[in-house]
Parts: sequence; structure tokens; C-alpha cells
Amino acid sequence: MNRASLTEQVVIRLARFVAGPERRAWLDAMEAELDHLTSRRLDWVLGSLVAAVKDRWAREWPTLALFAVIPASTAAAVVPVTAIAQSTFSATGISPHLLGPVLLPLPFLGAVLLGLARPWRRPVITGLLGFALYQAGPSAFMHFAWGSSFGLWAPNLAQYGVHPAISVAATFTLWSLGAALGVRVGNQRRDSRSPEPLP
Amino acid sequence: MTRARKPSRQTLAILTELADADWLYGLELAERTGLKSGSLYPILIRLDERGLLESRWIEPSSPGRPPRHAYRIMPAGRKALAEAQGPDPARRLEGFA
Repeated sequence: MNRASLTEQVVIRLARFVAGPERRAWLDAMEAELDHLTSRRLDWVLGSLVAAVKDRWAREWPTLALFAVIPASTAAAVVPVTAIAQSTFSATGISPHLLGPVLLPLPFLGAVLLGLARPWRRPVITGLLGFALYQAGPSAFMHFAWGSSFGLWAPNLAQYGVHPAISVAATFTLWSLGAALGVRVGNQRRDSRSPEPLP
Repeated sequence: MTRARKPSRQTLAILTELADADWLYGLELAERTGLKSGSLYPILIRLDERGLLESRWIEPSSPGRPPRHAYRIMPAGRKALAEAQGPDPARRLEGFA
């Protein structure tokens, strides 16, 4: 019997996470073959990870693509909303410190859409992924486009009077609440579409 | 309207190996087809879901080892393979060289 090394166990565990519970038997199958391999074992487990990614993408690419589109669109919306709000504030004499509260709710709509797109998933995971991509996407874009350093960008609201900790926590809360609402509405829509059971 | 996709060379290689054997394990299929696990298993999953092959767990012959997942071609798989290979025997070998 060839016991799996720590590295192999970590990769298999990652593959199981990527593949999801629907594919548990298939990951068991790939892991069972590992017991009969004496060489190129890491190739086999890395292949399992590749298989998990390919299979998950084939099953869910439309909803997974939304994870790139929705957080990016939400982040992109910050620019015109900021411009409009700032011009309105300066024209009306409203304090620029109100920009923070104006920008903070923006992720909510994106989170609702993500929740609606995959109501069969746990909202906390959807909210967390949306929040992470909303933070990382613009940061990565700004790094590659303008060479700015990586980092969370929600804390930038600090210059408008919102404490960084509050800004990050509030943004994450909005992603989670929005995802929960989207999942709830999505599940209600799915249930209403299900055929009535026969009497 | 749905259009039947032509099976890939890798898919045909897997079906051909399964057609020539009874039950085969994933590792045996990988060795026979030259496919890596990252290419082999997504195809096996798809073929299984389409009913072209069946799978089952086989208990190990020696104690202390985990059961293994084995695969066998179904009649629908043989039919798909025959259709993909076509009627011309010379063409059947195309893509397998």
C-alpha cells in the first residue's frame, strides 16, 4: 500500500474542493488509483486537480464567468458614480464626506445578481467570493495598468471619512447580505417553477 | 435544434480500449491511451453521464487496499464508437496512429 504524502493529500483535498460534493465519487476513484502508483504520483494528483477544474468549468462556466463580470462591473461603476456624486456635491454644497455612504451600497446589487445566478450554493461562499474579487480585481488591474501596489481598495474610502475597518467590514457585509437575498429569491423562483406533485 | 458533436480523438481512444476489454481501471486506461489523469477523468465523467460507459467499485484482492473504480463500455458506447469510426475500415484507423 502506497500512503499519500502530505503534498499529495493537500492537492487531492484542493481538487475535492474545486470539484464540489457532486463529484466526490470521482475524486475517490482518482485517489484510489494513487494507491497503485509507485512513480509519477504527483503527476497523477496534479492531473486530478486539472480534471476537477476542467469538469467544474464545463458544468458551471456561465455562472463562474459571472464572478469575473459582476464584481468587475460593480468596481467599474464606482468611477462614474464618484464623478456624478462629486459634481453634485460641489454644485449643491453638500459635504464630500457623504461620498462614502453613496459608494458603499454599490456592491449590494452585484451581490444580489451573483446570489440569483447560483441559488443552489451557500450565500456566505458567494458573498465571500464576490467580495474577494471586488477587492482583488481592481487592485490587480491597477497594478498591471499603472504599476500601483496591490492592496484592498475599499479602505480608500477613508479619505471620504469612512474608517478602513468599517469600510471593509461594511463592504463585506453588503456582499453577504446581497448574496443571501439573491439566493433566497433565486430559490423561491426555482421552487415556483418546479412542477406540482401528482395527487 | 441540437447537433451531435464529433467525439474527440481522446474520447475515441478511450472507447476503443474499453471496447477491446471487459472492466478497466482508470490507471490501466491512462496507460493504454497515453492520457494523463487530467484529460482522462473529465472524459470518463462525460461518457458515464451520457450512458456510453458504466462504472462500478471493485473490492481489492488484497486486504488493506481501497476499492478501485472500474469502467466498461455500454451498448450505446459501442454504437457511438462504430458511428464515429464510419463504414470505411481504412478510415477507422485515422486518428489512432
